[in-house]
Amino acid sequence: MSGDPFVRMDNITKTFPGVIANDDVSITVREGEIHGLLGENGAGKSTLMKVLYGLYSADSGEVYLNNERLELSSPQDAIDAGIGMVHQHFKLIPRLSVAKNIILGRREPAAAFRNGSGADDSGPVSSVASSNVLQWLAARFTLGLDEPVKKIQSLADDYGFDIDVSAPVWELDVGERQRVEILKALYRDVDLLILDEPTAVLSPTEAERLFETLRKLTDQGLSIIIITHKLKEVQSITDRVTVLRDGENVGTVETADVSREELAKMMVGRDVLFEIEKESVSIGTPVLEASNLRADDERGIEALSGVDMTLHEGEIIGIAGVSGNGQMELAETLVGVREATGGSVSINGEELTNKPPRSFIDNGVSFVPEDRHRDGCAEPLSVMHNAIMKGYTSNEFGAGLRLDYESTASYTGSLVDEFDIRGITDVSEITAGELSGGNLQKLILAREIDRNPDLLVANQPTRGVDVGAIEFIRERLLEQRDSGTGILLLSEDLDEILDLSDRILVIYEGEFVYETTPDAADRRRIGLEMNGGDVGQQSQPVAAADGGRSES
Amino acid sequence: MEFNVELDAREDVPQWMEYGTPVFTILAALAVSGIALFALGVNPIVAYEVMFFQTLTTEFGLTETVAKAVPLIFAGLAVYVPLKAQLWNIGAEGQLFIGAIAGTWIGLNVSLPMIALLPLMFVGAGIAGALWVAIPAVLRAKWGINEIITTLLFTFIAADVKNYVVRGPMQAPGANFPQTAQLPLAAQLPDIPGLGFPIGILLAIVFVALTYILVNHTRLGFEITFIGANDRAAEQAGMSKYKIYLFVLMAGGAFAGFAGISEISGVQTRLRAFFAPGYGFTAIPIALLGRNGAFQVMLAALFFAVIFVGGSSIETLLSVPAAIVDIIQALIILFLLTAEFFKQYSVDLSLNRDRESRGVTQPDGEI
Amino acid sequence: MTGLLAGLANATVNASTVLILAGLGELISERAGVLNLGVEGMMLVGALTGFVTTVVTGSYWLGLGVAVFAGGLMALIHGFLCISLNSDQAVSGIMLTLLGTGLTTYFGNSYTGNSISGFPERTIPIIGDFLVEIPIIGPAVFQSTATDYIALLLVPLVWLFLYRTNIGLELISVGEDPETADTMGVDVYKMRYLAVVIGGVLAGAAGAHLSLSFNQIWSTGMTAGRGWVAVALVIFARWRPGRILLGAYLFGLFNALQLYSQAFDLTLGPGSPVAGIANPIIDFVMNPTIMSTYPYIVTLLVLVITVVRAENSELAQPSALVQSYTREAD
Repeated sequence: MSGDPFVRMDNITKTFPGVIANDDVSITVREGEIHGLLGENGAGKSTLMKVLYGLYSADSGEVYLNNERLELSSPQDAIDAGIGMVHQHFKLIPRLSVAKNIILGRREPAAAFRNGSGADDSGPVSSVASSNVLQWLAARFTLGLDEPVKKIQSLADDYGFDIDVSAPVWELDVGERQRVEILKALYRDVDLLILDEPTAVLSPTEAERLFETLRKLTDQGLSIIIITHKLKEVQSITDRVTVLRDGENVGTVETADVSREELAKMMVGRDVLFEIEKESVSIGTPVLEASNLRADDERGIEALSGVDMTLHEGEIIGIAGVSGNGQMELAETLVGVREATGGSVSINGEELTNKPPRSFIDNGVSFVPEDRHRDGCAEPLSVMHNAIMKGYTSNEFGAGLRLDYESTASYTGSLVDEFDIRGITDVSEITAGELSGGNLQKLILAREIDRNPDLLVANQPTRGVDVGAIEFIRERLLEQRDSGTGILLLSEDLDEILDLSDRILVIYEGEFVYETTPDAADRRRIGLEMNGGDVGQQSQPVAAADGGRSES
Repeated sequence: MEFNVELDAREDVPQWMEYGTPVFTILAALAVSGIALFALGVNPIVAYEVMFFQTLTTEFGLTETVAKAVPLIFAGLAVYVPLKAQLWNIGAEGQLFIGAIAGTWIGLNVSLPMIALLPLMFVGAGIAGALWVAIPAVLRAKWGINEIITTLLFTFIAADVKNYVVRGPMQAPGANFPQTAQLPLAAQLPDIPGLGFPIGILLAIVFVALTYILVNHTRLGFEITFIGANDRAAEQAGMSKYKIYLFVLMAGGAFAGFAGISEISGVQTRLRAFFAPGYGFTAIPIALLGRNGAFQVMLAALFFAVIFVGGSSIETLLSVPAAIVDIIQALIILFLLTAEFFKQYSVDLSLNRDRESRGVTQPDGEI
Repeated sequence: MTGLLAGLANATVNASTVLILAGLGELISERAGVLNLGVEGMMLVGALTGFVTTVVTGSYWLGLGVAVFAGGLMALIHGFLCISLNSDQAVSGIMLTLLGTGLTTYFGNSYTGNSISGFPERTIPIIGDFLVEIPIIGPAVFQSTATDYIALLLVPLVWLFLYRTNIGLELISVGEDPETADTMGVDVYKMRYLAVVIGGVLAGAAGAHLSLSFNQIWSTGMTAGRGWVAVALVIFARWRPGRILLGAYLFGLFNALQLYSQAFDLTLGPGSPVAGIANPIIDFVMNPTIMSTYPYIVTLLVLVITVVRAENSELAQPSALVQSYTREAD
C-alpha cells in the first residue's frame, strides 16, 4: 500500500439530453485504498464510474492510470487496463458452473494447447502458420477448464470465499453470487475494482463478510472504489470518501476525520427548489391502516420488514428514502398488487390484505406506479384505452357487456383538457407510447385522481418528468388532498416530500426509522436517516403509527 | 472505413406502409412463385389468369370459393382471437379435427330434423374444439407453459385420433375405406335457396360480425386487447389474465371446431382421413394478414380460398401440381414477416470513416 | 420369440436414426435459443435433393452432401428472419415447413416411385463381424448404413461439442441469457446463426437418410411427421444429447411396436374374469394409430412435470428459448 495516486479522473464532464450528469468532476484514488463514492440518487456517481469502466465516453476530461493516459471506449479497454466492475445486477448464468461463468468469452484453450507447449521454432513460416491455425482451432474447439478451475479455486480460497468453483450458480445465494462477480474481476487480474451499491442486496452479516473480503483484497494491493449512499457503510469500510452532489464533486475527505452529520450535510446541501403554498387542512378518519406489514422483493428476499402506519382523509404522508429500501414493495402491497408475507392492510376499516387488485380498486384505492411504462399503461394502445384502464367497468360507459367507445372518447377528451395533457390530436389514435414522459404521467395521474379515490398511492410521481409537468402534478396532488383524499407519497426527492407532506416517514432497509413533520424537519437529519446514518446510534424512538393527531 | 447498417426504431408507421403491406406481400409472393411456375415450363401470367380470373368469373369458381372460404374464415378466427391477447393458437388444425369428429358423430347418431340437428352438430363441434385446447390453455394460464408447443403436440395427437376413428369405431360398414358413413341429409349443410352458395357462409359472416362486436364494443374485448398489449399493467388494473387466456383460447378452439364441422357437413358429407388440407395452418397467415380486424380476417380467408380453388384449377387445366398453393402461402408469410420488420425499423446503410458515432444516448435510470 | 425380439430391435434402431439426426440438430438450435419448427420442411428438402442428386450422379455420398447443404440453406433463411429481423420464431418455422412441403411436392412429383441403390448396409471394419454376433442387438445396431453410424457417432460428438468446447459453452450461454453473454464478449448473433445452420444441416441429413438409406425411394411427404416428432423429442430429452439417443430409441420402439402389433398377442384368454374389460383396452392401447400418439403424449407429460417442478433445476428448458435478442442502444 504505497498511497500514491493510482487512478486519476480529471475534469470529467458528461451530459445527457437535458441534464449534466458530471460537471467538471475530478477524483483521485490511491493505490491500495478503499475509496467511497457517496451521493444521493442523481448525484452522478454511477455515471462517473461508467465513464471509468468504458461504458460511457466523457464529453471532456481525461482518465489516468499510474500517470498513463487511458483511452476507454469499451469495457474491454477497461479490463485490459486492469479496471473491473461489479454491477448491482449480477451478470451470471445460473445453469452454468461458477468456473464456466468466469471464463465465458475468453476462449481459453485446453492445457495441451496453451502457448509455449510443444512449439517448434526451428521451422520456416509454415510451422508458425500451422501453430496459429492450431491455436485458432484450439480456442474454439477445446475448453480450457482445468487450469482456470485451479486458479479460480485458489483465488477463492485465498480470500476465504468458501465457494465450490464447479458448482452451478443457481445453487448459490446472493452473497456467494456477488463473490463470484468479484472473482470474475480478480481472475482478469484487475488492479482497481469498482463496486456499485454492493450491499443493496446483502443482509448485514453478508455485508460484513464482504467488507472482510475487501480488506483482504486491499492488503494484497488492490484498489477499490465503492459507490454507495449508505453512511454507515462509508464509515465502516472506506479510507477516504468523495461526495458528489448534483453532478459536482463537493469534496474528498479522510473517513476517519469526518462525522456522519458532516457527510450528510455534504450530500444533501441546503437548496430548496420549490415553494408551494399549502393550507393546513383538518384530517378525517383513517383510510389506510397497515400493521406489521411485510413483503419480499422480486428475488424472494424480505424487502419490507414490518411497517405500521395510519393514513387519514385529507392527509399526505411522505415516505422519504433512497430507492431500493422497500418503497416499491410498500406501495404495491398497499394497493394489492404485491403479496404481503405478513401483517395486514385495511382500507376504510375493511381488511383487504392479499385480496386481488380489483378489490382495492373497488374500495377507492388509486395507484400511480413507479415504472409507468411497465406497470402504468399499455404503450401500444391509445390514450383512450389507457385512460379507462381501470374505469372501463363503470356503467357510465355502457350497460352490461357493451362498452361504448364514444362515451369513453369524450370522457378521455375532457380528462385531457382538464389535466392539460399535451401532444394529443385524437384520443383514439395517439398511443400512450407516443406521449412524452411528463404527459404520460399526467395521463396516469388523471386517470387515478379523477375517480376521486379515498386513498392515492403515488410512487415517484415526478420522476423523469419535465419541470412544467412537475409543478402541475404537485398542485393536483395538493388539490386532491384538500378535497379529502388520503395520499401516500413516495419520493426520492426530499424537497418534494418537504413541500407536500403533512407528515414525513423515512424508510430505510424496509423499516420506518424516523418520523417528523415539515415544520419540525431538519433536512440534514432526514438525509442522515435516509442513508442509515442514525440507525442504532442514538435511541431515537421510532414514531408511533399514528402521530397522535386529533380531529379539529 | 466501415460499412454500417443503422437501424432506427420508427416512431410512426407511414400510412402507405400500413395499408399497402398486405398488397405488397401478396404481389411479392405471387411474383416469386412465378419462378416455380416458370421452372415447370408454365407461363406465370397464364397460370395466375386461370387462378384468379377464371375462379372469380365463373359461377362454379365462385361457389367453390365461397364453400372453401367457410372453414378458412372460421379457422382464421380461431387464430385471430387468441392473437389479440398475444397467444398463438398453432393447434387450430387439431381442434378442427376434433370438432369434425364430434360433429360428425352427432350427425350420424342423433336423429333429429335438420333444424335441430345442424345446430346441435355445431354446438357439439364447438365444445369439442374448445375442450381440446382447454389443457394447453390451463397450462399456459397457470404455469406459463408455451402454448405454441402444447397446442402443436395436441394437433398431432388429434390427427392420429382422427385417423383412428375413421378406420375403427366410426368407420363406414362395408367397404374398407378410411372414412365414415355418409351423413344423412338432415345433417348436411344446405345451400342458400336461389344462390348456389352454402349456407355455411352466412354462419361464418355472423360469427365474423360477432367477433368484431366482441373485440370492438364489449368490455371483454377491451380486456383481451389490454392483456395482449401489457398483461402486467392489465393485472394491476384488476383484469384477470387467467380468465382471459382461457376464454380466448377456448373461443379459438370452438371456432376451429366450427371450421371442422362446416367442412364435413357442407362439403365432404362424411369424415375422411384426409379431409382438410392444412386449413388450421393456413389460418396463421390468414390471421396475420387480417390482424387488424375480424372483417380483414374474412377478406384474407376469401383470398386464400381463391388461391386454393385456383390451385386445383391450374392443376387440372395446366398440369401444375396443386402444391404451388403451399408455396404461395409460405411466401406470403415470408414477405409478411419481412414487412413487419421494415414497419418497425427504418434501415440506413452508410459507410463510416471512423467509429466516433458510438456514444451514449440515454442514461439508464440512476445517475 | 428371439426372432420377434430381434425383429423388434432392428425396427427400433432403424426408426431411431432419423430422429437422432433431426433431434440433435434441433437440440443445438434450441440450446442457442432459437426454436426451429421448420424441421419437417428441411427434412423433406434434404430427402428430395439428396435423392435427385443420387439419381443424376449415381453417388449417394454426393447426394448426402447436397442434402445437408440444402438443409443448411433453408435454416439460414430461418436464422435471418429470427435473428436479424427478430421475427416470430414459431411463424417463421411453420412457414419453412410449408415451403419445404410445397416445394418438394411440387418438384418431386416426377421422381415419385423411382428407386435407387442408396447406402448399403455394412458392418464396421475390424470389430464389426464380431459385434454383429451379439444376440438381438448385434444385427440391429451393427449391420447398418453409413448414415446410421453417423447418427450414432454424432451423439457423443454433439455432447463433446456442447460441454467440452468453448464454442459450445458460448452457444449454451447465448440460449440462457444473451444479454449476459453479450457483456462477456460473446458474439450472440454469430452463435445463434451457427446453431440454426447446424440444425438445418442435420435436418437435411435426416431427410437424406430417409431417401437414401432407410427407404431408398422418394415419395411426397415421406417424412410423415417425423420432423415434428423430432421437435417433441428434444423436449422429451430435456435438451440433453444422451437423452436424445434414449428418446429416439423409445420413440423408435413405439414405431416398431406399431409394425409388430399383430404379432404380439396380448389379449387375455376368454376364461379370465377381467378379459371382457381388459381386452378392449389392450386392443385400444396396442392399436397402431393410437400408438402414433405416444411420443407426443409422453412429451407432454415430461413437459408438464418438469415445468411444474422447481424453476432452476437442471432439467428446465434453455431460459432464452424463443426470445429474440436485440442489443440495447449503447
